[in-house]
Amino acid sequence: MCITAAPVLPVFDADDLLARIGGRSELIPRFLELFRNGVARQREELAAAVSSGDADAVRIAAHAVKGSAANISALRVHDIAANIEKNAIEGHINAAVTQIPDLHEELDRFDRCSREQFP
Amino acid sequence: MNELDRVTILVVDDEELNREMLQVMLADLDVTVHLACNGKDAADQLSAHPETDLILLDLEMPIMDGFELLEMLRWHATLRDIPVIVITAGRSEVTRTLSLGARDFLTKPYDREELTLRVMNLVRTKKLTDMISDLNNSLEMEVARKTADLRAALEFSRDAEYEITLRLGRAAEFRDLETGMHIRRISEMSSELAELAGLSAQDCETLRYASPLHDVGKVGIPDRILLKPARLDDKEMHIMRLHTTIGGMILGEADRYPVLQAGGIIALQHHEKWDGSGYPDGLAGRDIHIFGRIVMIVDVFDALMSVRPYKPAFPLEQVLAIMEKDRGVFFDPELYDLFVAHVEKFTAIRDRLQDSSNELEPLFEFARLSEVGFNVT
Repeated sequence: MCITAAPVLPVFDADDLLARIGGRSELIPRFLELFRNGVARQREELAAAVSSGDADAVRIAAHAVKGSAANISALRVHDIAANIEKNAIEGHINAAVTQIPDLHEELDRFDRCSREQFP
Repeated sequence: MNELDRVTILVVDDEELNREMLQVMLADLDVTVHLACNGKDAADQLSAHPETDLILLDLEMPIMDGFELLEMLRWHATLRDIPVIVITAGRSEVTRTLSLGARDFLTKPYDREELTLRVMNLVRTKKLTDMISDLNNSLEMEVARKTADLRAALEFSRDAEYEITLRLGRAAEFRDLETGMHIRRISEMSSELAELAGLSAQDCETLRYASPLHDVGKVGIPDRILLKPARLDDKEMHIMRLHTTIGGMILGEADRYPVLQAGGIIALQHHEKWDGSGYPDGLAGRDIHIFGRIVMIVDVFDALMSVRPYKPAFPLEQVLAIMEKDRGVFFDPELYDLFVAHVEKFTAIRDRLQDSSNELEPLFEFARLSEVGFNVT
């Protein structure tokens, strides 16, 4: 199952995505592919930003993940990316960095979950 | 959705997913979508497609971000009229983007219905603005066209007035023994002497067109007098002299037509003499209008220089000798002196506008010596 018990947010709210694109489910695999491609790059950028300790680069990369996640209805990825961005904006670089493993974990979870629903 | 015909939208986002989702969501609107992946790319697309009706703009982008593009658009002469919807991942940038000139904003995740409504609102406004601007342009062109038409009509009516005076002059000339070339020479010579006398360019032009009318009153003189092949008796001479008064009547009451009005003055006064011995009113000196004084000189000069049924053409020296005696008697002495000092200008006009040989031959057969007020012997 894609919905875990503890946090309320779904990993992948496919119904929400479907509603926003006017019920055209045939487009979802294409969007998922684009999301994965984009996120792969964003992950690299995030890793580079963290290793160089560049708070602004962290903010930009997290912001990009947040936007894409919102569009693809990856609600938990969106939630964590938003938190990282917020911490980066407020200068809490350490807090931002500690959340990055969670982000990777949620991204992986989204990947598995979305592949199950749209193989 | 007629108002969305030929709508062009530029989508600017560095994430392919976002660009493609917007493109898919806009597909139902039947609009042309161009894509750009950063601000610089967007600027290039706008140069290539200046007809763009709307920009959907992401803010965080590499190379040139959305804020920079908004700033660039704000100062651009034509592109600044293209409305921009800013796409944000949160509300924090909304105020800043609106202050930079964005018209509206849209938050991620995109919702097709919301997107469509916001896009349509702005596109409709843009199309109306374009329409008003087009209308203004075409109204301006229409005004320019009408003004040109009006100017052309004015010019035509002025030309028509000139044309009428020339033809009226010709009509009178058919009643007389003068030739068509005489009329044209009087016209040129009058204008020339007026210029020498320092009259304004407009007065010279008026005189050029009014002087052919000097004998128009001859249309009112009966043939038996006008064409009498013998010297006129006193009664006949009295009638003959009425051509001045008749000309003044034909061309009178013409305040609105400067050429006809001048023609009236000339017709009435071209037989008035400097010493007051002329007709019809016996005016003297400067009481005679300068147009009348000018035409008196050139009319006599041209008559003396020309062949008439009752006289040969006199050589220039003889003509000047005859006229000299009437300086200050018939002629305004100052104008006469100017005329003599530049007499070559007047002989040049005669050379240029010579009589054709037999234009009035049939009339000459009937006419004998009908000297009219100026005795050359």
